[in-house]
Order: sequence, then structure tokens, then C-alpha cells
Amino acid sequence: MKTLKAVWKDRDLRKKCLIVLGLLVFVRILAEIPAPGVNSDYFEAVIESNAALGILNVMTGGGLSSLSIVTLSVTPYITSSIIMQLLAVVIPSLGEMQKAQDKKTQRRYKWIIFGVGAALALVESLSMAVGFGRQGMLISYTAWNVILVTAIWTIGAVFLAGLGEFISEKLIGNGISLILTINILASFPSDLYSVWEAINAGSVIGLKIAEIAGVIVFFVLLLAFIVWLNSTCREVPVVHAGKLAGSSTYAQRHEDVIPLKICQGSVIPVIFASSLLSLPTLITTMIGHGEDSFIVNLLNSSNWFVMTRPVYTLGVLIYIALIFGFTYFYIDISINPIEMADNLKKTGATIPGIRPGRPTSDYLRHQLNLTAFIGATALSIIAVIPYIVGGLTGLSNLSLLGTSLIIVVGVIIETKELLESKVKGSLYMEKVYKGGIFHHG
Amino acid sequence: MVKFLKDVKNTWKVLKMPSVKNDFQSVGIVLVVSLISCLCLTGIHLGMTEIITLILGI
Repeated sequence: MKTLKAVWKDRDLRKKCLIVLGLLVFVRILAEIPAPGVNSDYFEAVIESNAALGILNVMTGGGLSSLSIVTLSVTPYITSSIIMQLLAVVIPSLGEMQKAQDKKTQRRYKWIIFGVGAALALVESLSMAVGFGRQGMLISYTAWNVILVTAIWTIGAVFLAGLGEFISEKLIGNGISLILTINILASFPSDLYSVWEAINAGSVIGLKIAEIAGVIVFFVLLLAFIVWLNSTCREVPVVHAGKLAGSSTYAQRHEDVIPLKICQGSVIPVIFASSLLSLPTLITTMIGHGEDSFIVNLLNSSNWFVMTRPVYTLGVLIYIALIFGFTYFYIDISINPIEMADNLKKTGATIPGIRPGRPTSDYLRHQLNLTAFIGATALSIIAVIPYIVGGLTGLSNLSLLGTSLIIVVGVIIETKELLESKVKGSLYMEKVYKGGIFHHG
Repeated sequence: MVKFLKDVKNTWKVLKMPSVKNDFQSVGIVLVVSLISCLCLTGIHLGMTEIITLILGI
């Protein structure tokens, strides 16, 4: 509350926050406008038959199921960022650009991500228009309709990515994350309604009240678990010893820590795993045959935890294995223990009990592997919960549960911390201008 | 593998976790923001559905 009051008092912050809120409302208005020439009900059935596609639908704010003009939302841009992160490992020049400190190179790197995102949006829109168009997604499957829908979806995705970047650079918060979060939140009311309908189907009032209380307690505990996952880390102690000041050296032990978050990749491993699993079902749906094969059914998350088809639940094990695999893969490509050890050595810092150089990098790698194991286990639990609930209750694709909630929690907490730091910064500047700092100092 | 799991257990013991108070404070913030957003988003959805029905007749 204090932060909100301080934000409201600060004219500049208030203006920025109101513009961001206005732009987010505008994004949702766009997501409600259907693309011309499409059968809006078509994708709802496809998503019902493949729960893994549900994650994509939630991230696009239901854009996929309603086939709005911004159907793809910011997902091509996010995919492009992930691809570029992977490419930076194999292409050294890209890696250097990614780590560059100067604004010009950073801007160029962002433009490359933007360009790749636009190309991906075009490819995805065209594949959807051609692949699903002839299956009934387009009201009339003509070349003109395919071109029109492809153009609208591509422009929509590029516009939203640009809007996200505009919010990040000129206003406040991470624009892309905020758009993603508002899209996820948009599917909460319909999910709540589905849960309410399921509970209301019962006839005993006492049981209904108990079910509602159970759902609330479960939801709050799940949120607490996700907050825990977001904030828990392994702090590796570091000691800086001996500093040089002018012509005299003084020894001053300065203790510090390297925080290794247990959930380094956030939801990226789950997104990778779900995308990979949804591919066979998506391809067989697009080509129109092979949908009933054992492998496709095993990988289709809609068949998991369904009592009448228990054998397909084994597919969960593949899903969990993929989450673990991608968690380690993400850490391997995004964190370089050798570089971390080198930086420690350059700054004269050491980890107590560990020699600098190779032993330090080996120690850090081992610690990363251990924390990643805990993170991947927690992530797997959260990722599997919607499928267990879906299989047992018939309520599939609930964005209220699972990985989309990790994104919502992460972005809300991150934005809250950002606002707090901005408020502190502006209060400090106010004091400096009034001379308060110097009077007290 | 056994050694790795033992190391995981030891790492678990030294993890820096948020206090229960801080954890639930964050849960409260997330719940309030989500609830307000859901109300506004439902309003936008219902309003836009009405407008689209009026304009396009679908």
C-alpha cells in the first residue's frame, strides 16, 4: 500500500504506470477482435484434444482458441529470444553481442531478435492458415483468405512485440512479460467459472462448501509453493580479501555471496517440454491421419491420468524426463562456471576452502547441478498438477494451476520490486534536491 | 548416484528460503493483483463481446 501511495504521489511514475495499464487494456481489446474469415470455434476443439497446446493458448490469452487478430500474441518473439540465446552458444559473434555493454550493440541484438520473431510469426501464421485452413479453420479455404489471415496474424504479433519493447524501454516494467501475464490472467475468469460449474454440479450443500474451501486452500498453498520456488536460492559464500587504496595496501575481508536460484530457467524447460510433446499430435492433426497410434496417444497430455486409459499416463514420465533434461540444458547454455571462476579470480575473490581457477569452476558447476535438481523436481510437480486435476476431474487446460501461474507470480513480484526501487530512487533524488542528504550527512 | 542424492540433501539444508511471513505476504499481493485484474478483464471481455455483436452481428 505504501509503495502504491508513493507511486501515485510521484507524477512521472504515476503517468508511466497509467500509460502501461492503458496499453495492457488495449492489448486485451485487440485480443477480443476476431480475425476475418475464420471459424472461431474450430481451435477450441483442437485444444480440447491436446492439453499441451493449452499452455500456448493460455500464453496467447485465449487468442489461439478464439482466433483473434493477435492470435499468436508475443509467443513468436519469446521463441525468437530463446532461439537467439541457444544460437549465442554456437555462434561466438552472437555470444559477444549478447554480453555487450554498449547500447548500440545491445540495440542491434534486440533488432535481430525482433527480426527473427517477425520471421517466425510469418512462418507460424502461414503454417496455421494452410495446415488448419483446409481442415475447417477458414470459412472458405481460398488463396486470398490464407494471405489475409497470415498478414493479419503476422502484423498482430510484430505489433505486440513492438509494444512490449516500447513499454520496457520508455515506460516501466518488462513489457513482453506484462503482456504475457495479462494474457494468462485473462483466462482465469473462465477457469474459475469451470471450477465453479464442476462444484455446482453436486447436490449436497455441505459438500459444495467443503469443496470450495478445499479449492481455495489448495490454490493458496500452490501459490505459496510457487513463491517459494521463485525466491529460494543457494548462496555460495565469497570472500574478497586485500584491497589497494592509493599507495598503501590494507587488508579488509569483505564477505559476499553468489546467489544460485533453484529455478534458473523459470518456465522455459516446461515450455520446451510441452512444445516437443505437442508436436506429434499437432502434426497428425494437420496431416489428418495417424492420430490414433499408441505413441501419439502416449505423448498427448489429454490422455494422462484418465482412469479409463491408465497406460497412457506413462507419458508423464517422458514429460518429467524432458523437464529435467531442458533444465540442465538451459543452465548449461546460460551459465558459464569457468567464466564465473575467472571473474572471481580477477576481482581477488575466493570461495572459502576452494582454490581459485579450475577447482572453483568445478565446485560452482557441481552446486549448479545440485540446485538444478531441486528446481527441476519442484518444477515437475507444478507442471504435472494440472494434468492430474484434469485427468481426475475432467477440467482440462486450467491456467489457474501449473506453469502459467509461475509466470504470473514471477512477473507480479518482479514488477512490485521494480516499483519499490523506483520509489526509493525518486525519494532519494528528492532528498538530494532539497539538500536533506547533505544536512543529515 | 547415491552420493549425488546425498549432496542434494545437504544442499537442501543450506538453501536460503523466504520466511513463511514473507512468502504469504507475496501470495497476498499476487492474489489481490490477480483478482483486480480478473474483474477488469472480465469487464473488457463482456464489453467487447457486446460491441462486436452489435457491430458485426455475430
